[in-house]
Amino acid sequence: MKKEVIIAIIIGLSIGLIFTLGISTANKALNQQKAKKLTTQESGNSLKSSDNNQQKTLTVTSHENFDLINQSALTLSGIAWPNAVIALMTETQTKLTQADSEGIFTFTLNLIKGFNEITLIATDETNAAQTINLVLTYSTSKIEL
Amino acid sequence: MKKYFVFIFSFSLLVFSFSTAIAVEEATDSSVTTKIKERLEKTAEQGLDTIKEELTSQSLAPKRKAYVGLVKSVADDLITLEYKSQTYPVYLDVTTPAKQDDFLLTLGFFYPDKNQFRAKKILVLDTPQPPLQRQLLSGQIQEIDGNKITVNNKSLTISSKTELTIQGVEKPSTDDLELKDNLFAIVTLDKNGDIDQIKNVLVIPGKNNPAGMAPTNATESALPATDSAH
Repeated sequence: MKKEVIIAIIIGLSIGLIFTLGISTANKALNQQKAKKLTTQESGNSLKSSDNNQQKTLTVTSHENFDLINQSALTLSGIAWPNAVIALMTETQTKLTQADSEGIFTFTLNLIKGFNEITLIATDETNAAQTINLVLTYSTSKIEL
Repeated sequence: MKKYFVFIFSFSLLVFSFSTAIAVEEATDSSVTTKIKERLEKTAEQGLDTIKEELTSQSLAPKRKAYVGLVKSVADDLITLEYKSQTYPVYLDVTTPAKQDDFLLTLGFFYPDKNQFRAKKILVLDTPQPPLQRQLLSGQIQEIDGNKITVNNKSLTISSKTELTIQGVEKPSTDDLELKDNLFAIVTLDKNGDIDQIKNVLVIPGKNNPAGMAPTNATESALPATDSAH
């Protein structure tokens, strides 16, 4: 009688363990697959952004062409590529600066009354260059919708 | 004997149920996580929708603009301006004596939903003079002779009017320059296209320059702009 009980316990435990292990292994495998999927997606995204970083483009983010501004002091900012050298040329001023490690640059300048033709050139040691021409008008005239 | 088999079977069933319970618990954990994720995604989506709506309304709001250019054609309520080989239609909300070939500055609003610029005020200006010819020169320093520097086989004379910036040098002078430094310069050109004045110079020290070895935070934040007014 005792023998049979022990055998029953061992068989029961074995079957139970087999099922438990099976289910937990399946769960682990599923989780790993999910994690892999996420990692692949993330690395795909980072590849895309690094590809973008390699593109040498120049964008002004603070203003748009033909903007009408009611104050002379102006902060012009934008994005080029990391450590690019940016030149700003207006009718009355010229400035040179270097973008930061993310390609962000900022200029402070004073607009003259009327329209201002602004040229921005981004370049670097490899002689890559991008140019943007911008017209910004400074006027205190009141216009209403 | 049968009794024992029934007993063994029942016991196995019991252990199996126990193991299933554990598995279900794990599954429940993951389903709770999924629910939380779904809820978070919903909340984020709602937030995004609000932001999208705000951005859309902002992007559709009329923008203060000023178009400039030479009058190419005049109609009752429409003038076409040409600026740097591009034409811009200007719808008129005011009367104007402007005629063909006048140079106009038109102030008004751009309506993004209609893709239309409507002028509220029009000024007739003198046709602007061609701008001073300027150029951005760059290259490695090939030769230094006092204030004369050769870059890309072009000789540049740095004067007291030149705004000189050398990365990593607080009070820069031509003495701080070394061969193979990378130089960027804004120059004005005369009528013959020769270099007239050097307005701004920005130097990024090369391997020969001790300033290049000094720690600099130029890669972390943009270098202050060198400034030169005419």
